[in-house]
Amino acid sequence: MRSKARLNWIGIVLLLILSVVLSILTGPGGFSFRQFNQILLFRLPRVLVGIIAGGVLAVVGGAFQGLLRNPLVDPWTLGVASGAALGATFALVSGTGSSILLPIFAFSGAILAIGVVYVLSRSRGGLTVIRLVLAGVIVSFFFSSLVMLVMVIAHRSLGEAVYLMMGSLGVVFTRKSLGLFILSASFALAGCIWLVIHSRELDIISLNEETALSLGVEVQRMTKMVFLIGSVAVGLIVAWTGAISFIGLVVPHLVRMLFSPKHSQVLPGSFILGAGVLLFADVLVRVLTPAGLPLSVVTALIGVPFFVYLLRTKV
Amino acid sequence: MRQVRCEIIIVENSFRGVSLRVFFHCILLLFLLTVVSCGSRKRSLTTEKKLRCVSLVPSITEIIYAIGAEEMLSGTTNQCDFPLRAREKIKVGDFQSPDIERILALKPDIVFTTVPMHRQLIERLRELRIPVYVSHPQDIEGVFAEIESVGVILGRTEEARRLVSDLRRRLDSLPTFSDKPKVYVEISVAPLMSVGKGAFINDIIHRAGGQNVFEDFNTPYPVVDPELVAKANPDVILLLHPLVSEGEIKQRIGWSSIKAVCSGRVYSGLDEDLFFRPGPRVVDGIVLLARLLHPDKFH
Repeated sequence: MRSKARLNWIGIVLLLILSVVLSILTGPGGFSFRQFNQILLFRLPRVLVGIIAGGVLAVVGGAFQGLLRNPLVDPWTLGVASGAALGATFALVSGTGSSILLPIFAFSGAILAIGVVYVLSRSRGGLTVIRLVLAGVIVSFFFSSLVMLVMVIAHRSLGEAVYLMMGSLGVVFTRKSLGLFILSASFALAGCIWLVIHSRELDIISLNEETALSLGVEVQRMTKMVFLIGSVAVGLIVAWTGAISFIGLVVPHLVRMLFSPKHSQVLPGSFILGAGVLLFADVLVRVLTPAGLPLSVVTALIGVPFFVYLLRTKV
Repeated sequence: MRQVRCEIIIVENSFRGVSLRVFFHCILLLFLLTVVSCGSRKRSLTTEKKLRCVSLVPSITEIIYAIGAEEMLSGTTNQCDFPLRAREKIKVGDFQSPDIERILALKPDIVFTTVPMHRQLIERLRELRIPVYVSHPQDIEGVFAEIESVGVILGRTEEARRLVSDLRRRLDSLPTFSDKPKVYVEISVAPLMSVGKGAFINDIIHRAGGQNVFEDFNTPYPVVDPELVAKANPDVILLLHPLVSEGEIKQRIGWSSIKAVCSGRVYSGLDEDLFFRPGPRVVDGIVLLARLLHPDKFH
């Protein structure tokens, strides 16, 4: 059993390595346009974005599923993406004239959404899971309608807002914005590491609240911290890539089926598999469709059959 | 309203025990009124009487103003913002989601729409037997044909014809261009999007003496990979969105070796509507672009 688990670990690491190699070697620009250095300038940042985005989304998705004891939760359930979309919309209608301000606006929007969800979900009895989910869903709806309102008031067509935050790894970097991305990525990674360190508490909370309390876990404090740290981490990502769906929902489930439901395995495994799957999907998008199919479509198309296979054989 | 009032009278009358003949007279009167009102509506379409129209398409709104038919325009959308006076017209909602009740409330004789945006709305309006004009110009010739059609519909045939021949004259007065610089048009940065064959802007670039680097793409507005832009190596970059300035393009990683960036031929801050709206101002867009692409041919 242990050797089988080891084989699975090797498998997901190999998938990640394969995806990295493929995404450096392939692309619509072909392999040999001018010098290879020129290509690397485009492809290395893309690989970096893919690894960070896929990894962080999957880890936070896994942590939220455990925290909220709900298999349908993904990193966007608690309202982060809608906040980022609102921030990005403000950047668009105010015509900032600088692409570095777009992620900054989007991240500010995400923080605003997180703050509103936090305030709404606090009650006299403290932060509860059900209030957190409800506040997240409500804030998502509210911010999405604010996006439309802002677009209408600014006389812009709604289509622009739809495309604005469509998930994609094709971030166009300047030197300055790459520096800022690396800074955001390190904070997001630090958040993931914090979540991995607190795997045991997450394990206990995911069973049920009473047991957790009796075992001395400060459930409310833990709930608050996981929500805040996880949301800020995905907020840092969504500001750059837009809301990439599916990875944060399904990858943690895949890892649970492949390894065990323990968060000390689920979270690191999700990081590696999330990064691998996202990069692999991006390679497929770039090679097969020159006109850019949305990334989320492809992640779902390759992820669902695999998920169904696991569902039928492992569970 | 009229119908309701008649019915009330009928009800009151029958309560007073008035004979059946009065009742039938009332019905007859009602019937006649309906026929007459329908007839007058039909007649107004065929004669050159003043029509009431609603335009759901910003470019058609511009055409209506350009041929001097604005007094027939009773409603527009939130996006119909040119000329400035168009903003004061009654709004029936967003260009992408106009409100059918507000349209009906204006009792239009014709509604100007476009596809694919208004497909469902068009079906509904046809069911309600409201005449619909569907705009879908593919290129500059299509715009000229559309101006003339709108002119015929609104009884401004002569004005429309004059406008088209003016626009044609301005196009013909452009010099001939032997070299065709490669143009990359950026319409969005997150994700990076450009224009393909099906896009209206493609024809504008063509007429302005340029060549769209992504004209092989069949999608009108494809999402493009940044490395494809570097590979295409355009001579001119046109930024048609507000998020990026010219100076920033230079700092993009991997873009500094693109010809347009080296020679400083990156343009932003242009009026986007000149390029996106298939209306009369499209010729302004072509002339503007031609000046940018071939500065040596203009003085």
